[in-house]
Amino acid sequence: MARRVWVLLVGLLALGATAPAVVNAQAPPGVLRVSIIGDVTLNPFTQPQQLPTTQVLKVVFSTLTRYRPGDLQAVGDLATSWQPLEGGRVWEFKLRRGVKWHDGKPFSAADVKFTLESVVNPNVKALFRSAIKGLQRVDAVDDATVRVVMERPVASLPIILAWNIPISPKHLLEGKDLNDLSDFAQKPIGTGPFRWKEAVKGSHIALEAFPDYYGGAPKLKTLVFKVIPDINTVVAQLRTGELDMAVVEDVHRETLVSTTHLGFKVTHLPSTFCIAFNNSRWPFTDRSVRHALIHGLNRELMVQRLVKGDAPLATGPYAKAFGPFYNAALKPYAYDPARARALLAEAGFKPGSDGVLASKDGKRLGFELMVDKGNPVREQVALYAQQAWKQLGIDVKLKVEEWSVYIKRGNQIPAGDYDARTTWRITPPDPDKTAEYTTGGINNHYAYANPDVDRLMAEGRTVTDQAKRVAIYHRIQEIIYQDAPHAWINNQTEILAMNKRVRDFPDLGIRDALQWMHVVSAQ
Amino acid sequence: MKTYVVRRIAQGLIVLFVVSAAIFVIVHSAPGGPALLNQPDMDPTVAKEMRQSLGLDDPIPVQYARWLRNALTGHFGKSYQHSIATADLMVARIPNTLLLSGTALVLAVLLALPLGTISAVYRYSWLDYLATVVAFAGVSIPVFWLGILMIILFSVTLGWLPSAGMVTIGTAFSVGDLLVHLVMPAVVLATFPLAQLTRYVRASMVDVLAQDYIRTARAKGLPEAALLGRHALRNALIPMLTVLGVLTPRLLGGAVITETIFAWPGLGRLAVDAAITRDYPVIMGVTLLVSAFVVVSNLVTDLLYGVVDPRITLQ
Amino acid sequence: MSGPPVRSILYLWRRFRRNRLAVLALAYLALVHVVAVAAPLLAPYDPDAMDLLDQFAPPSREHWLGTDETGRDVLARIIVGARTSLAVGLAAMTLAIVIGITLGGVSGLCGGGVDAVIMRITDGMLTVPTFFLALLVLAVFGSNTVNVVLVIGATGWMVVARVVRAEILRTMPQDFIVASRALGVGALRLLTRHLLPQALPSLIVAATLGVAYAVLTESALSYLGLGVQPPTPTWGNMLTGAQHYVWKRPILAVYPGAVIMLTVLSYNALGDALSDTLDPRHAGT
Repeated sequence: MARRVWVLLVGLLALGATAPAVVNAQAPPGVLRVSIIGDVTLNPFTQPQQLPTTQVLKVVFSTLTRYRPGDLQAVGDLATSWQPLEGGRVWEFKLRRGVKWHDGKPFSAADVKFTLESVVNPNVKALFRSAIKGLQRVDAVDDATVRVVMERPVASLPIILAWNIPISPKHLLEGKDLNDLSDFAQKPIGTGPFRWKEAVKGSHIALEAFPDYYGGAPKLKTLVFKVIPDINTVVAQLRTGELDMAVVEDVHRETLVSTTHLGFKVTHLPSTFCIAFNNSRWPFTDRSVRHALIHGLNRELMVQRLVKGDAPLATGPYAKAFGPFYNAALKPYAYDPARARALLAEAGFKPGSDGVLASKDGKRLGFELMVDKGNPVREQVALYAQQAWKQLGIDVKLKVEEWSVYIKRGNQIPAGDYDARTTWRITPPDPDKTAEYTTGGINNHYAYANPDVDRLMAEGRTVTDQAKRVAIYHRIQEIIYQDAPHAWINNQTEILAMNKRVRDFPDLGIRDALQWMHVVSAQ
Repeated sequence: MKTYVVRRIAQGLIVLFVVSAAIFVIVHSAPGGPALLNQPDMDPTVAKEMRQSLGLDDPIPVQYARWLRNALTGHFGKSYQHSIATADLMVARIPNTLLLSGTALVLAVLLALPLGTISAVYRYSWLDYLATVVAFAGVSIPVFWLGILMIILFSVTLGWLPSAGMVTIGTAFSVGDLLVHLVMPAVVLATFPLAQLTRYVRASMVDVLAQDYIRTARAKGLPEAALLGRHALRNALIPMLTVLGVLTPRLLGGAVITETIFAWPGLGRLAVDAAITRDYPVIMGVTLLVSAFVVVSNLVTDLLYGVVDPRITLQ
Repeated sequence: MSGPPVRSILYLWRRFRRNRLAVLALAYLALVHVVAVAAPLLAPYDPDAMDLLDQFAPPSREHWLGTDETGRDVLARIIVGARTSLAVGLAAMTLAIVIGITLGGVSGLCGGGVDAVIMRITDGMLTVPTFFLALLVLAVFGSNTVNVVLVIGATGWMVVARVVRAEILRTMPQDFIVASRALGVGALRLLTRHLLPQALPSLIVAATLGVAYAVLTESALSYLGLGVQPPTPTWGNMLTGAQHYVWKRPILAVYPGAVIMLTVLSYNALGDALSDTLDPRHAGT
């Protein structure tokens, strides 16, 4: 009997050991596999499941303009040229001829008119409606010319249109309920370099090259978006070669660096990570407190050790990626706890019996710091700030919130329901930040208000002369820098891990690079 | 028998009603609301319009009544996140979860029977101790920890198995490919039931082996293998059925974690995503489906009970 | 009624002692609980103190288990984490026992319709995949220590309720209970003085296994980001944190994973041994 047991055990072990070795993980030439974090619904108007959906839409659809690799300037996609009329209130776009939809029908000015007017149609719940708010109408002058008529001058309209406004087929969508494009969204028709092939929910979306793409047949045969929500799985698949490309964090780059088939690309993004103060709430109503809070943070160390990714220290909402509009003359606030203490003392704060500072009328200096749950770097930044501010005698309570609650509490005007929170805002490389930094702006959740900024932002929207615009935005940055409505931490960067078989990937962040996928190839 | 089944089904329906009402209230009274309405780039007026058109401004009882009416006709509404019918979403994933859980359960039963039997036959031997420790470890190990350790070992270090997914994307479907992807998730998911079942098989074999009829059979000189297989195991199976009934909900709970680690496109992951994004129709649909599944499987277990052990009459 | 005589405790201990695995488990658990209670005295560092210049340090004389991603001492966090993890486990178990005794007691004593309703609820709860329910509630209401305890406690009482009810139904017909009732002893007194002591062995076993379940569940919820939230260290959220660095420093995931597993294993082994020891039906083996 005992022998039989042994035979059984050995048999089981042998069974385990002879399991077939993994199939070749690397994709054949011409096939590229990119990761996305969740499922997509390819409705070009409502764009639910925001990030992954926008990413895939950018490959299937074209936009009027797109961003040039290297400097993020707007260049043509479906439009070939454009010019402002009436001081930038009306923009005329010349459209590319001979462009075909994936179903073979010709693209024309009517599609542009249909798309843009639908986006601002109040009955359509378009996600990016606010991006082109104030669009009055679109005139199709002829088959290849449109005039976009805005309520007020918008100097940066070409930059905005490159962002998230995929041009959609009128012949298929007219008269349909654009909020509910179940059929179309499952098998979308665009003008982009890749067309829909198949999708398996929770698994992947496969796209195939569109041979009639206006820019010539794409070099890749197949582009696959793999749905992988877990970052460790992404890392594992990059290593095994099951995945060709993914955005990773710095900590993963450190591990993946030894994987010989991988390379890395760091892109500076036009966004800033910061701890935003609610400027309508005490103690942030006091500018010296805001300055003291910034001086009390060793942001250089935080960026080097926690944020990483070769990110530069930020001086405000503008980043290097804004090109000429970025004011490089501003220098980041120094880490200077002594100065922070002095500022707080000048503002009348004295240590109480429990070591926490208190104002003249006896209010304890403390606040709640809200952070969205699940991102280790942001949680660490918040924890570090809490400890650093504690050393100044400030009582900071950490509040980790679910994403929905974080957004619901935070994204309100004229001020979010929070004291301070870690935040960042991804926007087009458009220097116009009226929405965020003018009094009553629709994304000004911080209650920031400065009449000079209001005036300059309004001016910036109407001026089309480049040198004058640059001067205006440099001045805006100086004012915001001095007001310090947030503790700026860093301008964001993106690390793209890429299999070395991928060639000719444009010098852009993944989101913008997806508009150029026809030039990319894979060995 | 017939009345028994009818009564059990009626009870099951009541359970489902209560569960669905409870979950509905819990979910809809949560702060924050669906992620669909809380997108950073969304125009606030768009959010307000969507809220209204989804009927989320109505009182919760009104909303529940509406949901129930639709659910009774088989309509679970459209997923907020996926913009397609919840039923379609679930239907696409049910086979994947059944494949994974089914494989895990079969694996667990097939391994637990010999292990538990060996343990019982060689009670207090080192084999028994080994099996005991392994079984305890199996019920005590955090599932996701085991999963991560296995990925590190088998995918990254050894390169034997793919780390995630169900098939190699971009290649033609083959059963071999599917099996290769199934190995790790199934083993991870099988760990808990395997350990649990081994303990139960051992316990009930110990009981059975002490029975008079086994002693008699042994005295009559019946070969040991026939004795174990034909007589002892058959009787030891009965208590195992109850355990299987209890294990089903736990298995589905384990599937939630396993599917997340291994990016297995099943119901568990759908449920996690739905809970995190507060995709109300999907949360409701999955909860109801899974509860219904457990109700049915419990009923089947009880009926099997009667088949395996004729002494038990169902009433 | 007085407690059991010393002799019988000694007898039980002698029986228990024969199970070597259980004795080891008991020793380990004693150690872990002492560490948890004395955590502030034992922790070599402030478990939350970051040192950004000393991240991912390997084990050394200063940091016996090294430091984590923000330069916090891992040993200190394991020690202080033991507090929260075990507190969550014990609190959730206590809650489960209280709910279980209440419902089981009411069910057993009242019988009839009340019994039927409570038992249907119990069946219903066993029907719902409780882990999914827990996850759902925490995802929508936010996961803090109190919610985690409530949710784990509220999904773990069913076995206790059944045990208590069964024990009552078994004991009620016995002579001394019948006599007490005849003498007009109140229901509550009957329950606490006569019925529960009968159920005590089963309750102790259920409690022990309950802690194991709670600790394990907290760690699983943590994996999905729904456990106790930082900065409070627990073994579960340490493991979640370490998960992001599993490629860079896998050992950071090994420590908390190992203590979770050992603790859960010990509680399971202890519960198993106790059921052997305390249950007269298993005597003499």
